[in-house]
Amino acid sequence: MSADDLRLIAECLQGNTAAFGVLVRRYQERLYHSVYRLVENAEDAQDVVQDAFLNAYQSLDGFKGDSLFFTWLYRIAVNTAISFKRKQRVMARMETRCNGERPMEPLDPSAASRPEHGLEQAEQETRVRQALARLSPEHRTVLVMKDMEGQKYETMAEVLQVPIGTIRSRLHRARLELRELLEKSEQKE
Amino acid sequence: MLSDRICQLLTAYVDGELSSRQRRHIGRLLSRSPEARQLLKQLQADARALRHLPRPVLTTDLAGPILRTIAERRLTPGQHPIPKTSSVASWLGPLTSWAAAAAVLFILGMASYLYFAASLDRPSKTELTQRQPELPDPSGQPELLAPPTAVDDTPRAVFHERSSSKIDHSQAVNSAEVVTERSAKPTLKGPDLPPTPSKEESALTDRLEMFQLDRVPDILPVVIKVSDLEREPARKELIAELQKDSDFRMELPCQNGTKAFERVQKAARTLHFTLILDKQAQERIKLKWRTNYVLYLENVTPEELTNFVQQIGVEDRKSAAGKAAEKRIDRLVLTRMSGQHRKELSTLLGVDPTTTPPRATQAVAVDSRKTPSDSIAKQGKQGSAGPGSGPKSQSSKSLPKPSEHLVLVLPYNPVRPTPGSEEIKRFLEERKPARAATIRVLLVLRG
Repeated sequence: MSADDLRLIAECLQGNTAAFGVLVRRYQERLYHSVYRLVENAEDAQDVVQDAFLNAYQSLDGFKGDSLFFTWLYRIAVNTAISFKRKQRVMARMETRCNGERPMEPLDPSAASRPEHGLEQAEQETRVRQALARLSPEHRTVLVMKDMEGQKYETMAEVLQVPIGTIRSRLHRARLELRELLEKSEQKE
Repeated sequence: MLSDRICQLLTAYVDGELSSRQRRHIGRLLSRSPEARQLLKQLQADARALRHLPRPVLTTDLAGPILRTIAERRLTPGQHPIPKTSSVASWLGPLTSWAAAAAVLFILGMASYLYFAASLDRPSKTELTQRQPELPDPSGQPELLAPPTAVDDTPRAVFHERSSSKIDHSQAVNSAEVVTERSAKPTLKGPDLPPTPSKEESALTDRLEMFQLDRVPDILPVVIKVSDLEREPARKELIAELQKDSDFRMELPCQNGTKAFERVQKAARTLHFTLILDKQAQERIKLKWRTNYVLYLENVTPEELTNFVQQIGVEDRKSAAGKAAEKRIDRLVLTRMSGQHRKELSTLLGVDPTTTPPRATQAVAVDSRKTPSDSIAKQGKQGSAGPGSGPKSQSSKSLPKPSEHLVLVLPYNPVRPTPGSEEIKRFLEERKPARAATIRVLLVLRG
């Protein structure tokens, strides 16, 4: 736990909102990266990160310092993103029922068209992103945390507040499901 | 075929989360199993692909909007999670809600009690009319109702012949309206109809008329240990149960549907049952993905089905090789096919096979709904109820050979088959006319 984080938190609790601004600037980029992979859309990711920071600010007196401030913040952001995705899924299902099959939103159209990327690599990226987007929020979360954030099982268990065994089995299922989806998309092409 | 545990170890290996002992174990496995090497390679490639996805860049500073929102909404730390309440309110709140819930339950209970008590205490119209002469009339008026002479005697006579001897004849005729109403019924009844209830019975029926009791068939599920089918009592119990109807749903809960299906395949090979596997089911079996499967069998006798399930148990025991942890199938749960099950079957197949006859039905006129005991008796005479052996009756020429038992295998969960797929079409086209005393079964392998 960074002493600087603790000092800033104490200042926030005394009513210095500027101190919270420092914390936001310190962690917004890392949070945004993870949340973006969970919600698949830049605007939504920004909204979720903002909501997560506001929730954290309002819950700041509940932070006991047992874990890193970022871990605590990350937990709030992941929960916000998961509930956002669940709501979005319900809406998508309702839209699909009304309008038929809903086309999948391209996650990051700019990436596929970058000139330095070979066509094959861009296609592979698109496939991986689309497969990731099709996973359930729980499975996607563990893959993002493990493969993109490089977090250990212990940290993941702490963030998601589940036993390590659950993380292990969830990751196992997520990897197999991702493999299945990738194989299917490869077969289609 | 890699077990679930090995797959899990492989994914943990990709994550770098194995102990040294587990790493050594996986190392040994990788050196001897090309399948494990292939899966590991794929999983590592997927993890690498995820790691190499371009990192999104946050183009705007969120601190400004966040601090603005805090100022606009006048947010303060500690507002959100635990709403500040006074110490009294903190315990009063839950107490009030519990008290309110208890009060509602109490009122509902009292209201129900009063309602039912009143309905049982309140005498019926018949009773009132019967009691009337026994009570002294304060006004001294003899009768308020019409005199008995105004009523037709015939129905009344029939009624009183059948009523209890304890009841005074003169009391019963005091209410012209009610007695005529009641006495009219016996005249309409034929000789085979049950006797008219007595007055006491009628009064009781009036009180209980709100409870309309219907006879319902016995549809409780039957649970049998699959391994017990190797013993005669359990076999007989299952066969007897299967003889009670023609359409059933059987659940085989297991630890891993795909693993358990291997046992089913072996049993089918042994008993010459032909499995028609849906494409999606084939894929999932090939990739060893945990799946629930549904098997649809028809034109099998209770004995044949029992043999099939018994053989599944035998194969399970053999494959487990004495290790209890490797046993996949424990019990079977048998229920009669309900309307909902039929609907589900129609959704899975695209048609309702229980109402759609096979193409060549006309060629053989065998009633599949015929009492099973008839054909079982014939089988008993010929001393054959073994696997795949059908009853050798006069229609034996048209009976399918043992190898002609078709079983359609579809994925059940998490994916469902596409109705009208090639395999389903093939199954429907190759269906044979139903033999006597055969049944249809939807067998779900769930795990």
